[in-house]
Amino acid sequence: MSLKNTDDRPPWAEMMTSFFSGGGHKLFTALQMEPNKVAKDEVSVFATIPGFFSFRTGDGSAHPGAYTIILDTVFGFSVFARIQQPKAIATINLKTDYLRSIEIGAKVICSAECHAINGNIARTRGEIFDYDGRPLASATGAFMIASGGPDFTSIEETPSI
Amino acid sequence: MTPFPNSPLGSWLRFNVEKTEDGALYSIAPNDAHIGNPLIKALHGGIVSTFLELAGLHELRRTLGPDADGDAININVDYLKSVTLSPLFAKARIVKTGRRLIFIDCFAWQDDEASPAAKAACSFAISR
Repeated sequence: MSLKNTDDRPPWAEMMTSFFSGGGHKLFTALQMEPNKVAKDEVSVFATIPGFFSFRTGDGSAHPGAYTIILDTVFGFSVFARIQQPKAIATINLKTDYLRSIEIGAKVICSAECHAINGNIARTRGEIFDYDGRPLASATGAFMIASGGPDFTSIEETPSI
Repeated sequence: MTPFPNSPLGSWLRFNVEKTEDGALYSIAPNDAHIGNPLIKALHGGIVSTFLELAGLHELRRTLGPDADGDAININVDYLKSVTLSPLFAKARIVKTGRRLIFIDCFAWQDDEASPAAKAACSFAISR
């Protein structure tokens, strides 16, 4: 699927998109994460729940931890979208409510926004839906900006993982 | 008890359970597939969350018996410091068990149990 709102895309959005393309990031590749929208007020990403999230014998359901991986990822990029700089950030807190279980192989979309920044603390919120529009999980997150690590402008110097 | 370590998720995380004098010690052995930030090779926050919830669910079954199961209601994770690609350990504590709900706290560490890397509060609906 193509990225929406290409006219609104800030220059750093290419950096974000590169994270998901080319198979350079193993975890994002495993979840088939693909950006749908990259804007200051919203980031949305498609994902598919991989088979290794199966955790119950004879049950096709996925462990809900898959939701937290998707949410933490999209929340982080929503912070980049809001500050418009690829600074180092770190998750401080992630609170996730599980609304509906999901099967292995299901396709989902996660939509998130960074709705507040106070000092160097960013607040995020977002949801995951299935392709029928049913809510699967909702979450809030808190992130520290400029957490002390290297910023993402050095991503091109980093070998693929 | 359902052998989570032998499930696809358990294998992917290299999840392990070790019986201890006072309960159970849970662990995972992360690798490159679990990295969130490639610049510092830090474990993804969602992997930490998944591990802590899996430990909590295992603790539920260990406490309530092999016929018990839990459907996760929510999880609240605090990330206390960056987690590297070395083994991550966790312990779980039952905070409150009711007839239909159970609340479990988990905390994780790497080198020093006294210096936790993350903590989580999990709630489950009990099913049998």
